[in-house]
Amino acid sequence: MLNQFYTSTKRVTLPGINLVASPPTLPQLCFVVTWDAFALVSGSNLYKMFRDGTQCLMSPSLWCLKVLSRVPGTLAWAFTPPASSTQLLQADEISGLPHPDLVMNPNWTIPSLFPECGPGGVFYVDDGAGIVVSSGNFLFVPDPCFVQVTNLRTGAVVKTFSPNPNFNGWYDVLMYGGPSRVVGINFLEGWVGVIDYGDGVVIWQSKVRPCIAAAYDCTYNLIVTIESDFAVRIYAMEAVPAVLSPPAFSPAPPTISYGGVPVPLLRRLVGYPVQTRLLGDAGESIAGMWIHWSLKNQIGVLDKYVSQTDENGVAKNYYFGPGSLGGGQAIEELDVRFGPTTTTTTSTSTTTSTSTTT
Amino acid sequence: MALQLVNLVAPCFSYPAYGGSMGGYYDYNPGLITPPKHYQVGNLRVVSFFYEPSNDMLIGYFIGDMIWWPGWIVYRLSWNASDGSLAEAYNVGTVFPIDYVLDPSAGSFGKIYSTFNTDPYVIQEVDWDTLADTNGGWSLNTEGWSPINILAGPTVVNLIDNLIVAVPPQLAFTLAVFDISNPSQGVLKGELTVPESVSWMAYQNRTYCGLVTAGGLILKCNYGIVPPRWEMLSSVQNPVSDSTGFYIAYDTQRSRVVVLRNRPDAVDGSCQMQLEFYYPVYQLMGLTDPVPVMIPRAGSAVRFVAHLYGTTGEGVTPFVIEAALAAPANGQLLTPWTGTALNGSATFRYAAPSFRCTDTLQLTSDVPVIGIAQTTTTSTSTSTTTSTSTVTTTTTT
Repeated sequence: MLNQFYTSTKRVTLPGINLVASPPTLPQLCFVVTWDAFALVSGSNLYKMFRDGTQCLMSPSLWCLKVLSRVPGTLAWAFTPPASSTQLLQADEISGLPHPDLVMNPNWTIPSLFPECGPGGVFYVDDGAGIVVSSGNFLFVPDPCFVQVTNLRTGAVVKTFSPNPNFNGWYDVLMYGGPSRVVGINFLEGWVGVIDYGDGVVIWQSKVRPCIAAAYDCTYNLIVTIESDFAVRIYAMEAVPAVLSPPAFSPAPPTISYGGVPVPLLRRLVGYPVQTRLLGDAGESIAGMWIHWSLKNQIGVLDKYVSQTDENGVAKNYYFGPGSLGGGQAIEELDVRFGPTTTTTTSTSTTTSTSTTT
Repeated sequence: MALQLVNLVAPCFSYPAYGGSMGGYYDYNPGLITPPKHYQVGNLRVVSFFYEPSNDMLIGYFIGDMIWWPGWIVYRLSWNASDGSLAEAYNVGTVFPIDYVLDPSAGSFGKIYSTFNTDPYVIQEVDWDTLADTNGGWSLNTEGWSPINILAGPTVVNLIDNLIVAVPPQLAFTLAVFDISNPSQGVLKGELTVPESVSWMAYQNRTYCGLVTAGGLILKCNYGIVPPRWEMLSSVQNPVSDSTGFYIAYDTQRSRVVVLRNRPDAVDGSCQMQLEFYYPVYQLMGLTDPVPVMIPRAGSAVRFVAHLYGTTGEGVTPFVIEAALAAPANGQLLTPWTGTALNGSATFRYAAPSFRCTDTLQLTSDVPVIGIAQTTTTSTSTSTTTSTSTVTTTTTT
């Protein structure tokens, strides 16, 4: 789950939506870099919406249009549901409206049964690279999520991939997320995926609370959602820490047989790398957090007592075997800890430290 | 860029008083007719509105209901363009010219051009003082074009560059620019989507035209380039009143927009039509709450973003937003004031203390109002908007 840190006190006014219809009529949200605000489409109205939920009416007469994200964080438009003559249009900078002269797919139109992109289809246009990235699911059948990359000039399918085996559904929006990347957001379950459409993989994924509209703010790296209570919520692209793995030697130290049981052979004054990993509840790596280390029995020595997680959520340390034990075996427990009392995750690993007699 | 209301003339016309045999008012029995109407004319409808440069007048043609035979009256009203004072209320006496023309408005060379109710393919130069066809004036018949383009509706004619800007009824919500270098076959040079059905258009110069929509949105269009583009989206002030129509003219001498707003007659029958003079500067609508764009954590600097915005969300710039922490402050405000960017945004940095606390960030912007407020007739010197955001910082060790 992403870390939500802001809820607007204002409630968004959304005329023309129907949350109980099947499929529901939802508002559309798209971040526009130059506005530093969002284009919000609700019914036939186009609003500029700021992050605190303030809305300004820009057009009351939109008809059957779908707002799209376009490289690098601007607007584009298509008809929805995709009709046989659907064109992808650039948006006018000032009014935000589709520009009839600036067609990005002049040589083909989106067929009504565009593969995997039927009524629920969503598009992201990278006209710099000359492609359109689409997702969605034909007739809203919950199948593994598909993403398709299509040549913008010819309409030929470049590649199709199923980037997210973890959930059945589809991305409801695809938003510009940097060069060769889109951020896909699923409203029903709240899945957020950072997709590299060049390599066809999900780089990172997490979740937000279920919502009725969402967009990725590429200026400040945020997910902004509107929930069914019509409040605007802002999430950092950083998961809430949930799971701290037991500390483990990596690589594993050599073992010796001690009473028929293999135990790690930890020589004194030799540092053995040990690590732990901090994850969110959806398995997201959490970077930049401080992990506190401690030894329960104080037999050996730790290199550091605090270390920071890297981009994979891994915090590393070294454990040194006891320096002057007379021999025999000792049980050592290693604690790692994150956060204050309520969010503390303590995990204990028991290792057997053996010192050899010189 | 937005539009600031600099002058309001309301009402801009008064109906002639009913001068009945008993002196007007006394012809009514207040017990039978409530409220009494004191005027000969009512329910004035706009036929045309434009700026006429040779007389420096704003000219409007109107038809109203008349209590005498024949039941209607056609007015040509002239207002001084400098202050909107009524210069002449001329009774045209015939319904013929206004029935014939459709949406006459100003174009290049200070001439008036019109489309016609009787022929949807023709644009013709008309005289400003009679709306009759100008003898030997320019005209264009698009009936032979392929495809046929019906130009009925508001148009802007630029004969310097041979361009026509029109809102053809067959293209929904689309502004079309035609190149008429070859009058027998115009070329569609570019199109723009309009945010709402267009009410009226005004020629500004050979590059720009302005238009007002049915709901009071005002747009400035650069029609001289390919493709054309919008250069301003703004709105009339207080567009949600009881307006029944908006009409736009561009005062080329003073470089300002004049909007004629029609409203229903007052309960006593008096005319409520008004002239609104707009200057293209800024118009403050509000200041958004400061929103953190980073997780507010103890011991770290947090960035907040707020926007100073106009009626259609356009940025109001360049102005200063001042920030302050409500007492008692725990953290420290690193940015006590920030100027707004082109999109109206301003960022503030706040250093959170190393312990868990709640601080309140308050923003204030004093934006001078150069014109007048719509709701009052007195001018206001400053407009103050304050917004507040409360942020709780959490300690994470």
